[in-house]
Amino acid sequence: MESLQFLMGGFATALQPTNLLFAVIGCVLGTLVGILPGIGPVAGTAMLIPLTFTIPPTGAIIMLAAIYYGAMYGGSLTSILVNVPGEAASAITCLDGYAMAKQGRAGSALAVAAVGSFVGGSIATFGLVLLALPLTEIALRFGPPEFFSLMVVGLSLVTGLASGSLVRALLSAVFGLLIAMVGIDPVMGAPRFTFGWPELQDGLQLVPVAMGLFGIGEILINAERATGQVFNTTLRSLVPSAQDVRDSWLPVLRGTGIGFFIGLIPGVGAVVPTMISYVTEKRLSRTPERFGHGMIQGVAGPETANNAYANAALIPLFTLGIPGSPTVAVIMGAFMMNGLIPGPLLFREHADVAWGVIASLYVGNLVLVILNLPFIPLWVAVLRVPYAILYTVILGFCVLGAYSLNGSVFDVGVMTAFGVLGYLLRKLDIPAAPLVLTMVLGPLMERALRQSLEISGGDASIFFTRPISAAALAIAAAFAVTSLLQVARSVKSQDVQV
Amino acid sequence: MRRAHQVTATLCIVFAAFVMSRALAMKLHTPLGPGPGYFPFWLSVVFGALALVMLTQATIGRPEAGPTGLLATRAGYRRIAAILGALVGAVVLINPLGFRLTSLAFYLFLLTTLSRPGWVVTLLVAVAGSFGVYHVFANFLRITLPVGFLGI
Repeated sequence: MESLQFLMGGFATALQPTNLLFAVIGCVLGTLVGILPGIGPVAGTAMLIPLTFTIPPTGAIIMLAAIYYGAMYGGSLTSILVNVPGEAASAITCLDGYAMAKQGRAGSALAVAAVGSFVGGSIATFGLVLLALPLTEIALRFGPPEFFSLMVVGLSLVTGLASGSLVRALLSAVFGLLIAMVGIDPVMGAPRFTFGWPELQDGLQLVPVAMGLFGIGEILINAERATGQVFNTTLRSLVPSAQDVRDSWLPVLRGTGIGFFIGLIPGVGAVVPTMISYVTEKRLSRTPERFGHGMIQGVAGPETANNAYANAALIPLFTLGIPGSPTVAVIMGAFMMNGLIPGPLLFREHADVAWGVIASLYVGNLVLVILNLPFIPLWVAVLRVPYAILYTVILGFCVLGAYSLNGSVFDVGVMTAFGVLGYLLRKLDIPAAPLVLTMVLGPLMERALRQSLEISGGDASIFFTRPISAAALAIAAAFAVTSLLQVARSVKSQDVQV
Repeated sequence: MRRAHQVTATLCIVFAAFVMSRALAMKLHTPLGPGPGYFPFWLSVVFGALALVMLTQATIGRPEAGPTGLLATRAGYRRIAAILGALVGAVVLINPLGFRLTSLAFYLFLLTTLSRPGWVVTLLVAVAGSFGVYHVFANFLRITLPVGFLGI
């Protein structure tokens, strides 16, 4: 009940004309970056952060959150229209979405995806409203040992981001922790790995790193092959048939549940809920053989799960200060740039901002569904621009975005260097997502570890003797063991196949 | 892919050794508790161990099929070199030349190198991306972008 009262106050903030305008602009810009192949939500959100510099903190976060879920929806547009996922989570939508587009049913697929995204996003946001205060009450009792153990849980879940080798995912995660060590030591104030460069005193900034790894890296991969115009299918009616609506509502509800519960677990990534949703729909279908040939259920379920996940992934950020995905890590960076620390204290010290942003998630989801259908011809027009021109413009905005963060060419250099690294990581099949997540977790984890050891006089048993900390470490161990068993099982099954 | 992973793992081991040596040069422990070198030291140990596992897997494990197209074509590498050259050029020129001229050169170079959409489109995109964007950022968003020695 208390939460609902706070939410009403949040609506008063979110519905202020300026904040409403920021949500609309964010949704449009987010969808635009989402439809551009090569610019997923991480790089897109990072690239657009400078646009929020002159906006008050509440408006800035509202706009960035709108960019985030706008980009998630934009990714599905390209999956359906051109068979190119704007971001990894939309890849599964290509299977049936593009097949529907080839049958002239693109409008139906897009409409169902938009409505499904709205339903999934709205219900997940309601979950955030219900869980926000109870979870923050618990989190406020945490001391440094509990926070450290919680970070270890987050780190253990990073293994879920491993698309192939667990070792390579862990290598990426530890590399992220290592580059987070650059800069002034958070406890003693001593410079570390700065090599006398004043620009490194504040450490490497997350935004140019994410833009490089995900934006520039992807553009370099795409630049390997000459690509012409992206869009070459036709678009007819945008109204779904009655049969499509009947076939979609149950997958939408199931997708909401799947996306929401997986979004609560930090580090799992947006690909997992969409995959699970697709597999679930296929298993429950009376005609599983028709999946991949234009089944609306194959669009409705995963697209809903995608947006439910996107909104639910904000719950660990708001309540515990743990980013659940690389894009949420970038949003966390934006919070910090605005002087706000996500986590339990956010609701105590900046309740107006926290509840304003939560209410804006509802408003933004509604704006997204209202705006997107009429805007589809505009997005199609953008996709008709030759890809080489599109990515030249994207590169220009990346330079602009990186420079305007601190007014420093150093950040443009960092972005370029990490762009090369992102390209190499893709080539070597090493996931970049764990690197970005641990880069955010690293300083928090180190501070919590060192404060804990200072409290205990260097005795590491403090992590095992405090109940919450011990329970968190047990959960982390369980996740790690499960991941290792999964890897062992997959290796064994490959051996059998060989 | 095997060779690529072996080289990567070896470079990671060298990197771990470098980080470890720098961490040891800092204080690992202080009277108050762990020092500035404590966390980097243990991270470098874990990083090195993981790299060693990767090297072992790549050397004695089953050969792994990498992503398709590990190596690009010559034309592909030329496009990548053009993009990286443009980015490095932007880093070097943005302060002395200013945002507008650097962006103009950036767009003209990349558009003529990568796509050649015709002079009218090239000029329109380049002018909008440089002078147009500067106008929006400086006058509407009030974000300061560098002005070069020519005053633009």
